[in-house]
This record gives sequence, C-alpha cells and structure tokens, in this order.
Amino acid sequence: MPSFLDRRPVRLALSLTAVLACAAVVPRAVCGHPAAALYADELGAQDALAREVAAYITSGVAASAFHTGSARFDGEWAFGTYTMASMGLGQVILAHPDRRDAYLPAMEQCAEQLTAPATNAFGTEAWGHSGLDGLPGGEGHAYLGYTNLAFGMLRLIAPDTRFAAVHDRLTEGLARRLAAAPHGLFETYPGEAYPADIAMVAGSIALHDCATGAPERPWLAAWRIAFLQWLDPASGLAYQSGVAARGSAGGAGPPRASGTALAAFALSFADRDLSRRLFQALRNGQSSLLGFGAVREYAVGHDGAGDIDSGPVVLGVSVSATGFTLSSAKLHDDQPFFTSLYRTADLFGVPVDRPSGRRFVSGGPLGNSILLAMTTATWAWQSRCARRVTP
Amino acid sequence: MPFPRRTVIFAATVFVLNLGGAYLLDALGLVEGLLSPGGGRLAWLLPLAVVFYGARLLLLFVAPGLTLAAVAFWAICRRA
Repeated sequence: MPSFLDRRPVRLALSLTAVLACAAVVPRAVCGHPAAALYADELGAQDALAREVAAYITSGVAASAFHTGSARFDGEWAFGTYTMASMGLGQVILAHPDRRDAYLPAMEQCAEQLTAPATNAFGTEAWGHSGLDGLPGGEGHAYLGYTNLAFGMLRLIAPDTRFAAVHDRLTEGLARRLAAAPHGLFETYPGEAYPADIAMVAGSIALHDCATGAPERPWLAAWRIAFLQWLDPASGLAYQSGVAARGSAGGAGPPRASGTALAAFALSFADRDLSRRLFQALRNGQSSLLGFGAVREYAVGHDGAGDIDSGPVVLGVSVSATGFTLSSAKLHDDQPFFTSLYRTADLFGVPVDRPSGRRFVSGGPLGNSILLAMTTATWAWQSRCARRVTP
Repeated sequence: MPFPRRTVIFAATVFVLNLGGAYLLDALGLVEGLLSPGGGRLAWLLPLAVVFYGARLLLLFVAPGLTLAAVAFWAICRRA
C-alpha cells in the first residue's frame, strides 16, 4: 500500500471527497436524464406517462378513490385528476396527432365525469345547487373554470365533440360572471375566492374562443388590468385568496407560489405576457441544491405551513409549486430550470415503468395527471385555433 | 488491502432496496395507503416508505462516491 494511504485520516478525507464529488454529479445525471426528452416533446417520453394516465382514467376513478378526510378535498382531487388528465392527454395529441385515437376516449371519459353530479358534489354541497344547472346565469362556482379548460382542450382536439353545447353554455356563464366581477375576481365557494381559479376561468374562456373561432371578448382587456391587483407588488406572486366584492385593498391571502404556478399555466391560454410575468416571480423564488430545483411557497416576509393547495412544505419549498412550475418553465423556454425541477420530481416522485406505461409511485392519480399536464405543456394549441390568436 | 466487499454489499443492498422498494410501494398503493382513513395501512406503509426513501438517498448521494473511493484504494494497493 502506498504510504499516504496508510493513514486513516487521509483515506477518510479522500473517501469524503469522492462522496461529495459523486453526489454533485451522479444524482443530477440519473434523475435529470428523462427531462430532455420531455422538454423536447419526444413521443416516447410523453407517451409512457400518457398511457399510464389514460389507463387509470378508463379503468374508472371517482371521489371515493381519495380519502383526505374532507369530502370537499376528495371531490376536488378527483375533479383535478380528470381536468389535468384531459389537459395532459390533449397536449400529447397536439404534439403527436397520431396518438389521437389512443387518447381521445380517455379525454371524453374525463369530460363525462366532469359533468357527472357525483364529481361535482363538492361544489353542489357548498352552494346548495349544481354550478352546471341554470347556466349561463348564476353566481360563483369558479372551480368550473377547470372543467371548462378541459372542455376547451377536448374541443380543440375534437371540434364536433358531444360536449360542445355544454362547453358553450359553461363558457358563456363563466364569461358573464367574470365580466361582471368588479375586481376581476368571483367566488369559488360562498365567501371564498381564489385568483388561481379565476386565472383558470380566464384561460378556459380564451381556449374556448380559440377552439370555436369566437371573437375576443371586449371586456378581457379591462379584466387583465383588474386582475393585476391580485399580484403582490413586491414578489410578483399571486395572492392565494381574496374577497371578490372588496378587491385586494379589502384584504387578501398571502402571496404564494402554488397558486401562482397554477395561474401561470392557465393564463398561458389567455395572456402570454401575464403568464411570463408570473413565471418570472416563480423563478425568483427558486431554491436549488446540487442541481435539484424547487420553488419556495411563500414570498419573502411571509411564512406558513403546507395545506391542501401546496402539499407538504419542506424547508420552505412546496410540492405543488415545484410541480406546477414545470409547465411555465417549459412554456417560457427555461430548460435549465425545467430540468432542475424535473430532477426533484423524479427523486421524490419515484418513476416506475410498468406494462401500462410509466408512473410516479408517490404521485397517485392526481399527481400523475398533474405531472403529465405540466411536462407536456405546449404552445401547439395556437396552431389549432379556429382564428388566429396571439395570447 | 482486501477487496472492499462490505462497501460493495452496501451499494448492492441500497440498489436492491431502491429498485424493489419502488415496485413494492407501487404495488401496495403508497399514496392511497397514506390517505387511507383507517390508518391501518399507514402503520406499516409509513416505515416502509421511510426505509425506501432512506435507501434511495443513500444510493444516489452516498453509494457512488463511497464505492468509487473504496474500489480505487483497493486497485491502487493491488498495483503497488
């Protein structure tokens, strides 16, 4: 043995150096490996995730599949699974039109479930009646923006879908409510309003108008200006909640990344610049270690625990914000950030390959649908619009 | 210097725990179990998940460097 290796401290120091050097190189290479293919919309990478999500949807998923302890959250999670699955599958079809026949049935099943009374029970219970009854009148029910966005994607892929009529009615109902909202916000549940949900409503209206060729809404420019009050001037993040009737001056929840990241995705269908602006705020809140990126949930000067929106908040970063930001990193051409976020999703999500495709063990139905939708986010929908759009 | 058998066995163990654990937790329904209202599955799924994630972090962040160093020391000594 060479004399320098005789000494135990030398061996320990060299071993530690090797461990640190490999820790800086190996995990980021292993976990980041699939990111490049997803960023480039490669069929193999997208299809593996899509097949698994489609298989789950067509096998049947219901509110009873979730057990968070809250009937509302169980319903919302099933609802979210259908919405994000539909968006993700639609985006895969946009990138690879030959997959239309494979995934359109699952998208239609999502739409079927999104209109089912059982799926909407959480909203019906909150308001005392279904938000889908009596459209286009009524109040609140901003959560229907998610349904409407899924309908929009379906409409883009299948213009003659049997859901076209309900899509038109729902869009008009939501548009009427948004146009009448004095501060660019209306309620999701009685007494509860969330800017991220309204971003979803606005995005869904824009996607509807893209798919059908409807002219741009005359009130949309004013809404964009009104919505800016729901962005924190210091951090640029969206306030998590607000009082629809009083505006942000009347009080708002803390600026948070989970809602902002979801809004950045939704607004990509309505206002590219606003989506980019939110993305920049998310980027400013990034946190990174050894190439593994994440997004801090609360803006500087604010603090709080995790909740149903953010998922667990560990060392200040949240699961939801990190996962949702994948979409805007991709949409706004930030491949290094996308890759760093994907590494984290891969490390803790734990992808496994099965005969039905690839899925993330710790994602569950909702997490896998979200990751599909976020990693397949694309501007390709613009080329399918019935009229030229420049969001 | 003998071949670093213990280090290689450690690396192989965390590799098997990572690979097998991922498929086992997938088959057992990790998320569904953690959200289960009864809590019965939680009692054994949670420790299983902790062991799995511990093995995964060791496999990715510790095992490569440790194995590299141990095998390099052994190779250097063997040549000398």
